[in-house]
Amino acid sequence: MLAKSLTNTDIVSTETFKLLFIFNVLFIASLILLITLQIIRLFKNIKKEIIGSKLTLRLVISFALMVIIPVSIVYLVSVSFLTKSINSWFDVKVESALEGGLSLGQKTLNILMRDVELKGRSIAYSIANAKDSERNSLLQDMREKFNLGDVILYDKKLNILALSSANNTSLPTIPNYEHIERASRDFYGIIEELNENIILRAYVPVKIENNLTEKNYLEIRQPIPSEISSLALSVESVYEDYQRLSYSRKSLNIVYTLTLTIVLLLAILSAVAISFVISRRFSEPLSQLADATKQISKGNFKRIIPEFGKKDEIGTLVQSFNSMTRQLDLATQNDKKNQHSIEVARLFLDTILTNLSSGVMVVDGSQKIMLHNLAALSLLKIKNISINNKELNTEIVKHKQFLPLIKFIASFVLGEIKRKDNSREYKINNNQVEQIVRVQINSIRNDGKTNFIILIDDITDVTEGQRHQAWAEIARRLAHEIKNPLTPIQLSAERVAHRLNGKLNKEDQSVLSKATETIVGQVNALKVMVNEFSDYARPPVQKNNDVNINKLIESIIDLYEALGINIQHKQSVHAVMVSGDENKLRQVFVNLLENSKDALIGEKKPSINITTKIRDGMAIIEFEDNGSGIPKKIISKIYEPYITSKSHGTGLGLAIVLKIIEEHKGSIVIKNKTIGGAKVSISIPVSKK
Amino acid sequence: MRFLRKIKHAIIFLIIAVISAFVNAEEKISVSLLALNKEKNTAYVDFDQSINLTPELITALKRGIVLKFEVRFLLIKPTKFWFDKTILEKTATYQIKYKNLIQQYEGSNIKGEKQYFNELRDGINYIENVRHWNVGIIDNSSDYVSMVLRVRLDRGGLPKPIQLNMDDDMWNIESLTILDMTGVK
Repeated sequence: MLAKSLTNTDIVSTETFKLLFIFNVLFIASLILLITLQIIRLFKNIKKEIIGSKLTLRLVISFALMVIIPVSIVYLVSVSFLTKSINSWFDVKVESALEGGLSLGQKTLNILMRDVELKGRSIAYSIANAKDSERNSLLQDMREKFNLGDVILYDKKLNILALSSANNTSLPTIPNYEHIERASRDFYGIIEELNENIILRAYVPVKIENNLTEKNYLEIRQPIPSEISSLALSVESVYEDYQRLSYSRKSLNIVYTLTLTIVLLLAILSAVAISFVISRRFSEPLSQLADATKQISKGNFKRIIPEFGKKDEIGTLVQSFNSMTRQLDLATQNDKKNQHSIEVARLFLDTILTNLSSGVMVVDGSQKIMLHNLAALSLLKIKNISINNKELNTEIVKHKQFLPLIKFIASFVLGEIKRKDNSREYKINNNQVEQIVRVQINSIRNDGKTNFIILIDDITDVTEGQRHQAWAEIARRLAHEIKNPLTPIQLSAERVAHRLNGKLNKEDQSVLSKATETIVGQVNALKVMVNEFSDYARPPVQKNNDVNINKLIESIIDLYEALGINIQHKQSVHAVMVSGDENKLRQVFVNLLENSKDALIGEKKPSINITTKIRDGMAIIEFEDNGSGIPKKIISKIYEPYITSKSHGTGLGLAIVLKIIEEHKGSIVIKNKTIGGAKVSISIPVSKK
Repeated sequence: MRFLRKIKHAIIFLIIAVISAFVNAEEKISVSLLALNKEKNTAYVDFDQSINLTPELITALKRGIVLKFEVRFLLIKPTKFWFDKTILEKTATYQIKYKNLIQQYEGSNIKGEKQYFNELRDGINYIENVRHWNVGIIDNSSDYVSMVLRVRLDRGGLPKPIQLNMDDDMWNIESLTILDMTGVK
């Protein structure tokens, strides 16, 4: 519209052009401001290292260059073309022709004026010599003769003295004093335009006869022929148009160049502004992708890029990325669940290891401890709890008695021992109690490395149980094998004695009697031994009744007090009830009191203290004496059959006691007191009734 | 004042306009006289101005550019707290141009009367001094206190490219005369 206003004056006025120009300038200024702000914002983003800003800058530069280069070329070509075109309008030949035409017109008018001058002078001469009465007719004749328009004679006061007009309707106008003044000196002619016609107006001084100072004046008005007039005016009009245009050439160039410059700026600035929008639209998903990638690298898998419903490559990329993010999120959640499960399993394993009575220890190839439980520390008597990543050596396991164990582990780890030979048992003295510890090592391969699991078990009870079972089996067989021939032996001896009674002499009779008594006595002794063996090897107790321990002990004490032994019975509660076989429990208590009685032989003040109480759901029965105690040599295998410090007896007493107590789901501990004597502690679960 | 009131047919406000101290020698148009005459209810304005054309303008004139001047007369009554009230407004034009064919300057005065001059100065003199310009009818009761006369070169008469070339300052020819008549009756 701005460009159109240059050429079309009817549609767009100058004011409109100015308004349009101002509007365009303001629009350009707004675009420049907008672009400047965008550029500042973009560079700030680049400085802040906001993702996508550099890509936006590159795209903006690319898009802008794509527009600026061709538009600039078009602009330069247009300006050059326009300038040359405008200059070509003002051809020297055209100007010369127009000047020639105008000059021709001017010369024609001058010739005509010269003609009027000659005619005027002729009329003036004629009138000057004519009488006053003849002036009008002479003027008429001369005008007609010279074919003039109007001829008027004025006196010096511009009064009309005579008049002749070709057109009688027109009244003469009063001449200009200035013109008369000029005409007073000589001829004065003037060319005037009047209603698209050219009129020659001439003033000629007319001498007055016999008067040298005063003059009359002749005015001649001669219209130019209309053909000549219109042609001359037409040439003048064209010449003036050309001159005006020529004069406006500089302004024309400036205005066209300015307009083209504004159009160029509008195009470039609009392109740059649009390039910002397009660049943002292009870079936005990529920026979001980059940002999302950054978030994902930080572990945020919840970042989903908005899908704008685009079906182009970027849309597909965004969809794929979102799909990947969701899968990663799912995998991460699963991983967390798995980690949680592993953690739970590890805790479970820790709990198991902690509560495991067996010691567990894992070492690597360099014998560094990777894992261990409390039982291992306890069994190896290690006080330092944090031994992970420390080498398993004598610095950690300080007790010398564990030296063979450590050596065995080291040898196995170093491969000095065959892998099949992976178990050893060691006897350890634990507070004067012999303890059997079994060490078992297994190698495991994990992640290309070989680690070793060391299992340490206290197998004292197991070994003891196995030993008891073996002894029970021996006892059962011995009882079976020995008991059968005893009765025939006894009967045979008695029959021999009965048959030969009175048939032998006294000496022989005496020998026979001693021999048969000896046989019968030894057979009885064997029967006692076999019965004890039978008791030891008998099946577990089947009969379960409620037994009041206090009452049972009181009934037994009554029998022993008669023997002169001071027995004290302390009862913390009136009734200590257990579920079991009363006879067997009686046998236990009798056995223990018998042992105490034997240990008190030779003591000046023999005393036995019995304490019964209930603690933690267990009936606790303690027997203490002030006797000689148990010899150290046998204290560790006191429950084994045939282990006894007494000269008489089978050595099965405490073995049977232990068997009965275990059958009652109880336990027994026998140890020497520091002040002398022995102490036996029995614990049996109390009855639930 | 009593003397002026006795004149029934014409109350003449004759104010000699002093050339403003702000008008410098280079001013292209300067008004030296501005007077308002009232005959019955008709107001007539007389003003004298001095038009100084620069050589560039004379060249333009000779190249066929018509120098058309627009004169605008305002009679104003100030209003408190609002825009001034215009009681009378009149616009007219006069011009001078060079006729190449007859090689004379054609002066056309404010009344539209044409006259040809061999000399430019004569032509300018012809349009400079304005007398008895009918600016309209005013009521006797009208209360006015200011006269405004604005004379400027009408750029609308210039060729289109010159009109559009806002960078060209040579065509900015303008004069503004404001005459405060407070207290003059």
